[in-house]
Amino acid sequence: MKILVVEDEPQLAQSINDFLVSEGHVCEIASNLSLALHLVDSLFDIIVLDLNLPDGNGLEVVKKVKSRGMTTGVIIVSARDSIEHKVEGLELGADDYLTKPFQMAELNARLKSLVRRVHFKGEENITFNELEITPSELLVKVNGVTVDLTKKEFDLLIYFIANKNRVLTKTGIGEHMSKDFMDYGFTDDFIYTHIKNLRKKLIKAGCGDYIRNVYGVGYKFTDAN
Amino acid sequence: MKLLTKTGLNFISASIFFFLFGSLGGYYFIRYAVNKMFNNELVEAKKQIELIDNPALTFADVEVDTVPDHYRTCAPIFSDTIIQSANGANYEFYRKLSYYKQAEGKTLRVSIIRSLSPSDLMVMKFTLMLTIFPILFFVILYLVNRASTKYSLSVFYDTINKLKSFDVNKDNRLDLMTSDVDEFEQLNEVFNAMEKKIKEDYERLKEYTGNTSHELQTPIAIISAKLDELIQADNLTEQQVKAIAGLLETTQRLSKINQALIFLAKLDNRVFANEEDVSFNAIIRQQLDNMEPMIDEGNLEVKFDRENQLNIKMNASLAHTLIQNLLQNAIRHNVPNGFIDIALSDNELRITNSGEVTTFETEKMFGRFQKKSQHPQSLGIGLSIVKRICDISNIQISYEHSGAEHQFVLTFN
Repeated sequence: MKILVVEDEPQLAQSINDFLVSEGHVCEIASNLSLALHLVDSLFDIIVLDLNLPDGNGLEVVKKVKSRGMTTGVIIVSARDSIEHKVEGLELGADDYLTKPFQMAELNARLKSLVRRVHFKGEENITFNELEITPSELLVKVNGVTVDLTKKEFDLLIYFIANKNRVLTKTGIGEHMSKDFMDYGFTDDFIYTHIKNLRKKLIKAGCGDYIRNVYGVGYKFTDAN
Repeated sequence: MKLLTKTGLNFISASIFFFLFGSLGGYYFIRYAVNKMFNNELVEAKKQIELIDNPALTFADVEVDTVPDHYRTCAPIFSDTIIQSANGANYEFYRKLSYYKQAEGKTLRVSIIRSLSPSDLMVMKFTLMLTIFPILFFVILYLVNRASTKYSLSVFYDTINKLKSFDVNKDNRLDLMTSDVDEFEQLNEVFNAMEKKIKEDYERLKEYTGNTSHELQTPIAIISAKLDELIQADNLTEQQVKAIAGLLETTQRLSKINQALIFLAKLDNRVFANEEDVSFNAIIRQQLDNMEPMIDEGNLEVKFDRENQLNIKMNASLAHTLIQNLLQNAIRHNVPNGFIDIALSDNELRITNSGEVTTFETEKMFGRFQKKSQHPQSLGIGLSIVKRICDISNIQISYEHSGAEHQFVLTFN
């Protein structure tokens, strides 16, 4: 996948770049709007776009991509988190909106979901060994047998598989799970229960125990020993 | 005591005092004048009698007695006397002049009397006049004075009422009335200037908080990204992973506090203005479903009558945040095998939960960063957000606890 990262903060741009490269993508960085508008012409699959750029609003990039009718997917990454900003970005044609600060795993999950939507029209199944997931139908099968999962558990599973072989901290998972309405009162310790239930259901269906506890600080979805 | 009552009371007591002395003085003055008049009349009568000086003649109102000799040198005496009327039915007041004279070697006392009854009527009428007119005068004066003061003070009371309802968070201006009284006009000018200054300062403070929080987001994002990178390395020891995870968690916490502060700033800036019909029943059901794992974990018994409806016009996302924070609170501050009782009525939502016996001060409950130390997961800002949402959405919220039971009551207007 060819990805353009538009981000004026060099440290953050570098981190995103390193992460995407480690995930096997080809990456280019644009640190300002004019460079981004220039680079957009060389077809990218996905643009990770910051809105607050030193020489203008990142939404210009979205406008250009959409006016040219490109199939490029756009994920906005911004510190502005008001509904209005989100709606504005999404209405212009951006595919997703991520609020800073975000976890790389979250960006990864969004990227993968975007790739499925844009390039496979949501038809693509996700497979991991004996697990087979049809995201469009919220369907999970283990060795061809359907497993009954709640919406949250399903969401969690997709998130795990998108970030397989990575250490996912409890807080990162919590953030992912509670994205609809912020719970401002507490940090996220509740995901433990969700993960325990998901694990139980999968193992009961005959699936391998892929969700590993990492020293009590997080989890890792892996089939490696 | 109201200014109006105070000045009124002063006026009335002063009036009564002066009025009492005034009418008493008036009465005695009239009395004195009338006596003087009668004395003159009696002296006149005496002159007449002496002029005529005929002992054979008698007058109805002149009495002549023979008295012992030593009275001879006595001066004439004016006095008041009471005489029973002819039919004995009533007594009448008389003015009497007694004088002594020598006649035929004897000392005679001549007493001339004059009835006071016609003049009594006069005195009475005067006294009545002296009483009633001042009373009428004072009453009218008092009423006029009261009305005029009240009218002048209306601006003052208006100012006080507006200041009472002044809320630096609210968008409305103070809009004080103008007055033709210089003092009030000055007062209102001072208040208007003060209001402007307070609002400006508050705006600046809010802006500052908002900007700071926003600017913090990017550095936090960088720290978080770098730590995430670090923790993925394969060759880390358990200790190193734990250390990095601890940092990640702290960063996350920092970010959440920051987000909460941004959210509060947004609440203050009335970002959530659009209102719609919100069903609290639906929201509670949805949130309870979301939290089911946590409820199961604590083996809590949830009592919720799913039939009762409560529909309120407010911002939907605020309603969700409100309920979520309240329910989370009820779950996390609960005890194993405890209960949560959610009662909806036409204009009220009560959330009661079992918990630990606490000495937490009720008033402090909604303050920012107020928390109980035994809950390390708590950021201590949830309830202050709840309170803020209630303030904005016109909901009264109260908290009380009795023993190990804690109850939040939301009253909708």
